[in-house]
Amino acid sequence: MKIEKDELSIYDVENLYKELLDEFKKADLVVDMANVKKIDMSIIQLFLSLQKSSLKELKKFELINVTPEVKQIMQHAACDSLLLIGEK
Amino acid sequence: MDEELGLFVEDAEEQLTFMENALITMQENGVDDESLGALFRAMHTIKGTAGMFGFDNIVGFTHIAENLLSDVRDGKITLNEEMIEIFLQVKDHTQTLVDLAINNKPLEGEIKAKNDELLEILKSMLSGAKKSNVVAPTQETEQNEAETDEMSEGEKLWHISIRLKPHFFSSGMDIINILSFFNMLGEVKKLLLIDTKIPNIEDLNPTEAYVGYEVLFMTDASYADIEEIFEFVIDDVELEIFLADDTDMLQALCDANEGLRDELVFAGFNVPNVAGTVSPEKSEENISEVSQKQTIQKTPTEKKAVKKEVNKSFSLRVDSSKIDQLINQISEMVIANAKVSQRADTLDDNELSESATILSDMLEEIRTGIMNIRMVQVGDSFNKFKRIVHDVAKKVEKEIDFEIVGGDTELDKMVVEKISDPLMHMLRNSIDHGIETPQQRKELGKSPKGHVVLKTYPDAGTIVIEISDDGRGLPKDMILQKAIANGLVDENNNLGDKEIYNLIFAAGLSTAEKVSDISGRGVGMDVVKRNIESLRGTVEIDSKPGEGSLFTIRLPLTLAIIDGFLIQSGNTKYIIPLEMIQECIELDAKYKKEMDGNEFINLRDSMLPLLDVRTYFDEEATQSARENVVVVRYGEYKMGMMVDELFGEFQTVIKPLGEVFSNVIGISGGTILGSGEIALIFDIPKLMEHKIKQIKK
Repeated sequence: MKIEKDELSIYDVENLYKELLDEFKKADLVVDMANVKKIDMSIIQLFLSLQKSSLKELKKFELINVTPEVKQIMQHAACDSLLLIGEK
Repeated sequence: MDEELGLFVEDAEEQLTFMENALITMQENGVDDESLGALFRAMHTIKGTAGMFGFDNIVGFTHIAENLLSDVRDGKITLNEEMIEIFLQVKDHTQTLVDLAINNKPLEGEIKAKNDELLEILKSMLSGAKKSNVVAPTQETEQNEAETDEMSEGEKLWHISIRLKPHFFSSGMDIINILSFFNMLGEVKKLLLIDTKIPNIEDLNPTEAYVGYEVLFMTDASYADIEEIFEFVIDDVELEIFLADDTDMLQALCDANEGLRDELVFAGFNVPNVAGTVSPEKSEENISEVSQKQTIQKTPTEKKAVKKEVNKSFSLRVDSSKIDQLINQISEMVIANAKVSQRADTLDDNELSESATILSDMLEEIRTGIMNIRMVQVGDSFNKFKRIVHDVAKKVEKEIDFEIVGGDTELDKMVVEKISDPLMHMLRNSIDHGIETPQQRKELGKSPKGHVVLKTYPDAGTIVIEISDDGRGLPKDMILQKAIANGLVDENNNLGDKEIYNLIFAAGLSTAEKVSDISGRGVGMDVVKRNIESLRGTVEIDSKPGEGSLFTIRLPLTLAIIDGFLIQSGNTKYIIPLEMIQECIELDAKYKKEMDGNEFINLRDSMLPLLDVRTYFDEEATQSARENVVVVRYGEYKMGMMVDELFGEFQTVIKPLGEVFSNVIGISGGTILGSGEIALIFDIPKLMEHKIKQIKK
């Protein structure tokens, strides 16, 4: 699943939650973050929740094509080691 | 606008005002440490708070300015006249950037060009070492700066525990931006995200916050400084700040958060195995004197923090409507107590009367206290005129020596704000029209620098604001000619000098020979007068050809409750503002004989004009045992008011009168007495004006 927006924040989190939850219920979830330049803590929290559920349900949840900008935000939020970030 | 954004804007504006005042002070008196500190703090604070909101343009710009100021503070660069001019532009541009940011507008066009131009200038002024480090602030550069600063004063290791409350996201703030602010105060040694409370995806409410952080933070900043990082979200987080070696606090924290100890140990925090023991890592951190608890002993940095707290209380922000509401409630209590007092008198109940008196005294104290909240020193607001004078003078190529006298005079904040525009207009006029060019002044034997003074002082229950200049004075003949041409006065008028000067307050009368973009468009002075009158104030002009002009504005001290003096004339009760009263005398037979039908008495060898209130307001005749004269003063004028009864001091709550009374000259409002009766409040300036006109006729 590819995110089209370049910025994700609390204003987008509800819609994104619904979309990701639907996808996650169906199968493994790989989120293409190539377009995303900025995220906030509400989005990180959503990813962390997906990560937690994926471990519990033995499913895959992965972020791919994470931009350097988002990587830096994740570093600042001390969550870069908690999420599965693919190199693709 | 979000509440937090509103606070940011207020904070930024306050800092920019401090910055401007500091720059103008240094321009006039040379560079001093205090002003330099204010300048640095302004840029530093705005950079920090803008960073929390993610306003990158402001952060990038102020960072460079702050770098340069840091060099100045360290003595690497000398702040000269040219740099002060540049920093005045930096102040204006920062204001523009703040406006752009809060309106969510991009940095583009002319503003972008100005931004780049100023950045280039600032960078070119930086000392060599910093020139290579002028990119927008990164974590690394900020840390380096912080480390350099810290070493001098001794650093401490703090533990900060943050838990976002569920509603945190509705604050509009992002915790990641707030965390980045730590790097501006010191060095984050460890940062642990606490995600244990995040539920599985099905149970997640995505708009609720579940996370928290544990931070190990090395800094020389005080507890208060660290707490200030959370200023905008203090109600949206659970926050614990304590010295990292405070084992009791750490123990309590671990006890309150199940599993936290293990997480902290895993993340490399110093966690005591049992209360009172700390792992040896403490020595590795090279921590100086961290054994004392911050709540007991105060180190120099913390003393600094205490001082800062004092300043904080100075700038406590309260919605002015809350104060207005309090004043209204006090007003109603004053009226209610007047009723109790009246009832006590009727019942001849001494105990009740005494209680009412005590209550009355207490109410007066509370009233004074609340009124004082609204009072501000005019100097704080008037200092901004220095910049305006500076800019206008530069534009019209004149040299001005501008002086503010009596800046510590206090006036109601609302009045200060409303008087600001009229004053600005009058100052511009003084510089543009009043003061001659340096060349003309030299030819006239005057100093090439024009002298403009803004003077404020209290006088008989009013506040007087004077604007004087030593310029050419008002062109009396030209004003009169224009007024005749505009049909404002007859050709055969018999106007005195002051009356002619006051014609400039008539709408559409401009005597400026050429219109500039500063003044002279014929609009303004009438608006100035209207604004002043709307504050129950008056304005007068005096001028001498070749010597200068003097504008005198008189404003009431407060707008809501005054100390009044209750009198009666005919069947009506009236209030005279107490502070305008000089004395009360009995109009005995001796005086009446002297008057001989005229409305003057000889009061200790000076002629005192009298106003018969009963005649003026067409009151019915009464059979009063004695007649009294209340001597009132307003400015340089004195007048005696002939009244029947004197009742004494009365706390007067000013109630506006309806439209019906708007044309009754001499009454400014009404008040409710304890008996429920209405008393009318005299408008002394208007009554004096009437008397003066009557005498001239």
